[in-house]
Amino acid sequence: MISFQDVTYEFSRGGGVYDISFEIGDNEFAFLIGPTGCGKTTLMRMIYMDLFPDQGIVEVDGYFSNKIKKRQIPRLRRNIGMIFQDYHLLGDRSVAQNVALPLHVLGYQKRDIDDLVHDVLDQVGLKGKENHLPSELSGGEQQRVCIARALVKDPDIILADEPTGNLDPVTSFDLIALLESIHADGVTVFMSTHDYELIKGRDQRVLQMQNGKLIGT
Amino acid sequence: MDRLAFLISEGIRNLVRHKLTATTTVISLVLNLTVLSVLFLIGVNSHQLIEYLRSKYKIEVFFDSDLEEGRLPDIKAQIDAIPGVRSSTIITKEDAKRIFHDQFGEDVESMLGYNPLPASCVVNVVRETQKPVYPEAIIRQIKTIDGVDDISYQGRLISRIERAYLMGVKGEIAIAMVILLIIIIIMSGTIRLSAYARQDLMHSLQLIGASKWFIKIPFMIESLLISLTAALIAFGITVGVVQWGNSYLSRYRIEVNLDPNLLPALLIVGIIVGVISAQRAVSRFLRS
Repeated sequence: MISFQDVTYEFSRGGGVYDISFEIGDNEFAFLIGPTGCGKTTLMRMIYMDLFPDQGIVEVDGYFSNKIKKRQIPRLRRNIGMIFQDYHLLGDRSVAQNVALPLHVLGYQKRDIDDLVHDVLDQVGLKGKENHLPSELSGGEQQRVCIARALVKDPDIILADEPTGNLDPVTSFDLIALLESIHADGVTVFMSTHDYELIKGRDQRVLQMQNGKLIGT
Repeated sequence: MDRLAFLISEGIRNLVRHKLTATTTVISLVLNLTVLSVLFLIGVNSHQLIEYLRSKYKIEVFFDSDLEEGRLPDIKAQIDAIPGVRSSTIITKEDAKRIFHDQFGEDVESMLGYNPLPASCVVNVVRETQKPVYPEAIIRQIKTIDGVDDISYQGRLISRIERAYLMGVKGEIAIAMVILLIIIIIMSGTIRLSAYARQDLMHSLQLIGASKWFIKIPFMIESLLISLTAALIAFGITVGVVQWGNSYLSRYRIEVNLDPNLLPALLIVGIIVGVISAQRAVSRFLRS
């Protein structure tokens, strides 16, 4: 579960999020929508405890922002799969090596890593691309690698921060379909976007932000 | 086990990626560690020299001429109990007469009609000590023993040698510290460059839940590989220089001893430098 209670965070040079309160339950799929610069990424960073609120409390998977110790943050993040607009892939490693990275962190055996990487690449439609470098893939494919890397460790939560920001509309719709199928397997998905067209007419819950404030949940 | 293999492979990967920087760092470290090895050998050999010189330190104690010979064992026991005394040898009046005869070919007793030579004692000071030996303290205590008449020793010379040795040791430690600092700065710079080039990896690892140690260990392995390689090369150079030097010095009957602790000492320095440098360099990036 993700919970924000009266959360405010302000950057030293201005901007931030103000008085945010909402909850996302287990196995929920929610969108966070708002224009660029409205505070979506700031809010996302507070979920994986890269930023801590000036006021209020963020709770994620039983960890509280006001109580969590530094050494517990990696443990929290191991339960969160993160997907970013700019992919954050390692350019000098193959697709399989990029996807395998979280499993090395978790201490999996090499044999299991190979099997899991193979399965997850199959799931995101990248079978046969294992040995490609990220630079040899299209933007949509790179984002799928990013999703595979987030999924491979079997997380409770997927956070997707503007994952379609660099993709064309068709690829963006495909990507949301992929996230929906992941959600159908029991994973909580929280995705931010500035693209209203992308979420129009969908069943999922939409949280709307503007100027650092939540204006609709 | 697989995780360890992954971390080691990451360390080697870092090293291979920066082979030019790593090579220049190894060269710099070899130079510094060779100087450190030479200092180490100078320290060991000068310590052996000072031990040899201390073995030559002698304090001669002359007893009252009317001292009963029966008291000599008791006085010897009192002298042996003084801190800083290694051993003592009693020279009785009869011994003194014999020595006189051996040295001058005359029997002093038949010349004068009596034996004027007093009983005495030769005192040897300790030599296997890290602290300087100052015979003044020993002499002060000997003087308090009943029956002691006069004391003769090379006081000024001993003090001068000990002071020079102490200054040498302090100077060596200071230079070694400066060299260690230089080595750590060089290594930190190299690892910082490596970490700077791997910021994307470090950031990704942080986001997927890697602990700080998981991120640091490959850089430590890289750092250790560099410093241990440099330590082994420096050891090889030092051995070569000592062997070459001994072949030259042997004509003067001087030999520089190659201490068996040199290699372990260099490897320990390599490990310490490797760990500290990586810790310093990577922590900055993890903080930011």
